[in-house]
Amino acid sequence: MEKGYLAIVFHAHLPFVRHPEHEESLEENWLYEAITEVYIPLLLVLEGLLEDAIDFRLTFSLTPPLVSMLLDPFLQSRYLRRIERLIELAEKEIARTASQPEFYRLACMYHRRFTEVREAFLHRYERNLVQVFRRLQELGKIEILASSATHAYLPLLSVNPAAVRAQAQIGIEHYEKVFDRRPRGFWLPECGFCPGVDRMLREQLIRFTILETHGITRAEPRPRYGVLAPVSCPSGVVAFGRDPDSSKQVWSSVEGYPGDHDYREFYRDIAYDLDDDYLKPYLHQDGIRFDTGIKYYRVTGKTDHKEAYVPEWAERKAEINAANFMFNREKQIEYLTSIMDRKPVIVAPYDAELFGHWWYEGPTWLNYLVRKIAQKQEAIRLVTLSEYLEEYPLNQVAMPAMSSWGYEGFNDVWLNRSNDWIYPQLHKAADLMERLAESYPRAEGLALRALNQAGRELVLAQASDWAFMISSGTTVEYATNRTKTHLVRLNRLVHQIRSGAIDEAGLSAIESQDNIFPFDIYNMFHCAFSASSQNSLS
Amino acid sequence: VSQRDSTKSKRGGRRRKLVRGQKVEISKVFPGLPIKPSEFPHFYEHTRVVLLPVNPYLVHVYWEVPPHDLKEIKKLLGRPALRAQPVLRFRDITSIIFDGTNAHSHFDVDIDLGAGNWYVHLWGPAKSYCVDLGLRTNDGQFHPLARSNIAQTPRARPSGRAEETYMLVEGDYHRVEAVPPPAGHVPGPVRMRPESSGAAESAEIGQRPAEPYSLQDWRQFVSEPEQGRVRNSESGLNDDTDLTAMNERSFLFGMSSGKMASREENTGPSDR
Repeated sequence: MEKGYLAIVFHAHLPFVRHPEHEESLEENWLYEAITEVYIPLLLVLEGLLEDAIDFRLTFSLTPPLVSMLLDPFLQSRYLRRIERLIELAEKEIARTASQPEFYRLACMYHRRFTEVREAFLHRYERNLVQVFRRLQELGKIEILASSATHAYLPLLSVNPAAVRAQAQIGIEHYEKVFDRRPRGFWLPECGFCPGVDRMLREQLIRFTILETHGITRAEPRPRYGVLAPVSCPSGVVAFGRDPDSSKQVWSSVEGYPGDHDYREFYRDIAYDLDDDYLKPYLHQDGIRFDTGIKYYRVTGKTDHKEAYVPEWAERKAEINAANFMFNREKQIEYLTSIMDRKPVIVAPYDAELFGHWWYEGPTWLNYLVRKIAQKQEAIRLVTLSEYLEEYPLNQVAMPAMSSWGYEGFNDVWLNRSNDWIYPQLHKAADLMERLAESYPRAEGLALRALNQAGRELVLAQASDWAFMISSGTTVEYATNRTKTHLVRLNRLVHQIRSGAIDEAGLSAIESQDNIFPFDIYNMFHCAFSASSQNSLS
Repeated sequence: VSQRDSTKSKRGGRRRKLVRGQKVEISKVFPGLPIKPSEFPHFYEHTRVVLLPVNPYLVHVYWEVPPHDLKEIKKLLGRPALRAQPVLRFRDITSIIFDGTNAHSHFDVDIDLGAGNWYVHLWGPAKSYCVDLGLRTNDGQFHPLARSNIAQTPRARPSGRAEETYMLVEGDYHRVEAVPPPAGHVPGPVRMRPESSGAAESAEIGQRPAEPYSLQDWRQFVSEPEQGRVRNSESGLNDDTDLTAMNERSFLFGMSSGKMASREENTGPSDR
């Protein structure tokens, strides 16, 4: 009989980066890398567990932009082209490294890996990874959380409560269409919470969400069990808190697993080490270098000196680290059991893209961890958060504190001198949408199409990714442009709708480009805004 | 020669890695749009001020004053307007229902109206504020132009308030009930909240928005808890069993991809 629960949560998200207007897009490559290195490897691990009849429970949040891209036939065929090129490159690498045994075997490893991934994508999963997640959920092995429409950072949109409501509502509607059931849990983008957001979730009949540690430890009144049991917001939405100890083991700069010297070094990709001429067919058409995913070195140590990666050592280390993680959870639970009058739940959320992309051995580590938990011990059981709530529907009432899992723990990352110009625009855009919803309660035909697209442009502008990228100094121009483009498109549409002169060709063009949420989302704005006139956030 | 991202992203793991190595002009990766200034309006039709919390000790305020509004007020004030100081008047309305006049206190921050936004450092966390944007004339008179939303700054430490209330939520909100305290708890005197009268039975709340569920408080404390440290029960639990304090101690801010970034700085190649 278990003494406590472990809920591992993978938050999978990428911004909506679909660029059919370009022959090649660097941003789309974020998706392709994640499919090759993260999503397919994780799915293969989960399917292996199923085949071996290992019982497990894991939680995933798959955001609407990611799901939309994974379901998009255009991106699926571009992905196929990409993985086929990688296989070709790996073949060339096998030939090139023939006289360097330590690299040759790695080139063979990558070739095998890419071939396996292509096979899984094309035949096993028939290009549709989303339906694999869906099937795992239907089997009761994983629980998939809903999230906001475009990974909007809700605390900074809450000036206009209807904007928050619409983000939640559209995200949930999308979830229902894709997964054919009502979501119980909701992933708050960046774990961004402020009091009042819970009520928006409550309106959508969301049962629970997950907050960063201090969202719970600083709840009012003080939670009796810290983050080892959830609290119930006064609205009835249950908030789980992230366990700091298990997070630290993966993320800590000192003791974090991914920094192990035997693991693969992320920063030594052949894309930066080899000649232009050789690499040319695999780079961007303008010669821009970006990661190929073929990396031959291990972390080795703290200096620039890197030695060749040894897959067997890394695999062994992943197993040791998995055993260590389990051991620490056992000790943790043993201690907690001595002071708690209920079974503790350890909630361990991670960015999914850490596993396999940055931490190459992450999926292997997970594989060992789940198997060890199932077979080597009895104190811990993996749970989904819904299962936990079935056993413990009774929870202490407390209002969690404003918090996020970003640097500094609050809003700093998404609101600072580099990106504060976004908010007046986003707030204004939400107000504009609100006035549209008031003015056009019943629209049809071309006007409805334009109103729907205006809604899509608004939610795309609201994605927290843009503010994040600007703040972290990566692809600042791209992020700035995305924000401005969606706002300009929204403004143009509003102008056209009001003047009654809708440019159908122009509308069709942006419909085919920004094709997220191909359903009547205007209706949802309409509901959100009329509800907010009765109900405010703060 | 390897081309590496030189940014020191604080929480950049995922997206940062995914986009590494790009030094490229935007025109090559994104078509952009020919954006005409008229399409990207700077002003609302009316004067407006918005308050956004950043962290427990910092808030951001932005405002927009359309030129015609400014002209209007200056005309109204006459000569004194010429030497009026634009200010943000912060009203502390923590834990009260603000009726426009009953703030605990206020303080002014002198601003440059043309800046459009301001960051204001605060002394204490967990406060509610509302801000008036206005002009202060030489005679000390304050002439408001607009009032902001109400915003709360986050808490910086665990609460000292430790009374315990429990809520049972079943299924998909089919029932929300007031329930007896969980087994093992020693309830103190039961205190019913005023709004809970007559609603202690199970209730269908499917249609009801938010708030007043029937709740009961079981007070665990007779005496006031110490500031910043709470004993969890009559038996006097010490720090090793105060789970909230324990979690708070082992918690590090921003422990997600950002920690990766700092690890990279420690262990990564030195040319970054």
